[in-house]
Amino acid sequence: MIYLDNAATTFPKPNEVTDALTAYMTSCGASPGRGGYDSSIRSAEMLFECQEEIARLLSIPSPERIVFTKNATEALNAAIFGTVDAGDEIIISSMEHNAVMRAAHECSRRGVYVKIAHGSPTGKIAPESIKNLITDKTKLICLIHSSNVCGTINDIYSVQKIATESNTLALFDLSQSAGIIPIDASGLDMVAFSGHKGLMGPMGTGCLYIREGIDPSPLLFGGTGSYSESARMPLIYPDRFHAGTVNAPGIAALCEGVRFVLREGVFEKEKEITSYMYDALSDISGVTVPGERERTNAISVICPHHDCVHIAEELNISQVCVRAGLHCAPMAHRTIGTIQSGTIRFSAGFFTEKPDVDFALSALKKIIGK
Amino acid sequence: MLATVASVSSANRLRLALLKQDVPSRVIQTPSSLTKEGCGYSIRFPDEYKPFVKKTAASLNINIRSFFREETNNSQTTYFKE
Repeated sequence: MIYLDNAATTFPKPNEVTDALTAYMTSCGASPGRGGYDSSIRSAEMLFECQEEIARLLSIPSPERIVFTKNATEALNAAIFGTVDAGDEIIISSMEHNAVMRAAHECSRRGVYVKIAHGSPTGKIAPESIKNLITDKTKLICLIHSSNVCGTINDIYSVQKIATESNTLALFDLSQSAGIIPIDASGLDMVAFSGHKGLMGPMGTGCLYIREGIDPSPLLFGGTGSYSESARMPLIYPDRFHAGTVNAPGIAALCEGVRFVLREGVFEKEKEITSYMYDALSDISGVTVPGERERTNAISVICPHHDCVHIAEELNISQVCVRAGLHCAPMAHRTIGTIQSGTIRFSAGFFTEKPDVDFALSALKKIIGK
Repeated sequence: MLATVASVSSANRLRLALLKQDVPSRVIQTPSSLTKEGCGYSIRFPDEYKPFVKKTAASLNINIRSFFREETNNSQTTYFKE
């Protein structure tokens, strides 16, 4: 099998990740912060270690303000619904995934005014286009760092600067960039990301980082193992956002995934294999590749006169795994002009080798008759 | 001696910072007789390190609720607030 759907979730995972998951389930098993016995304390320690490793990777100054969620969607929802209220304005971009788009739609139903900054045909959001939408009612700017459709990378640092100068908060979706390209989140307000994509962890893991000085309301309310006599959620992090038992086995495995990313220097390899695939796809006559060459690992293609889902089905017969359709980002497809056709998305990962790409593209050429 | 803190994550942060400075310590669940807000965690460490623990916690912005000296007689532990 040639797995080229790493933008959905990375596969395979490093051995250390699966080993850590198994070890937690078979040897530790305790709930962190819920007891005083050794394995519960060790479990809490492991959560802390994972926060520290993520902080190291993303240059986050306060590891304790990294909270674990079940995925990036939950992290984004927690940040959005915890920040904006009726009467506020939120600015999102036209390249957002439905994790933000649908949350913003729900916000508008609750009386929040939603503004959309439109991207270029390559999927790039100009920071100025966001700046032009800011008013004194703008509470939050939400921007995807890298498109899950075409991999285009946005300038989050300039947008953060604009937000800070406008006394507005910024939230960045790093789902397609964390662990894929270098990121310095030290000056960012809030970032959300998956644990199971570039960070190589298992599905069921995600994170939200909230810098000191910002305090969104929690999305969930419940037991945290701290301040138990109070009916209110604790103010301390990460407890404030850790209502209920966390996915400790998943976080133990995620910790090893992050260590793998830190140790193996994955950025160069990711860039090399993606550029190789981008160039090879661009060379196939009759195939269009929207977006810019400088990108993260998502490469969408259109093959005129061929249904993208049909091509993905045919590739599946050749044991090549790719994703076809709108990739849960319809406005992104409108932005790059592919809403009618959808696209076939090829996304390589750290473990993808050039012969894998050659095989997949050879199969594609046969299907489209090139 | 016990230093009581709000959560297990604060306790772990403090313990690891102390460990890096070769201060022996251990995270334990705070005895229920000492916690007014339930389910707290504490750091247990030798009494002589109290000023050091206090300083390290302050540098990490960790709020130590109280320090308790422990005395055990006939398997009965008594805690004295410092």
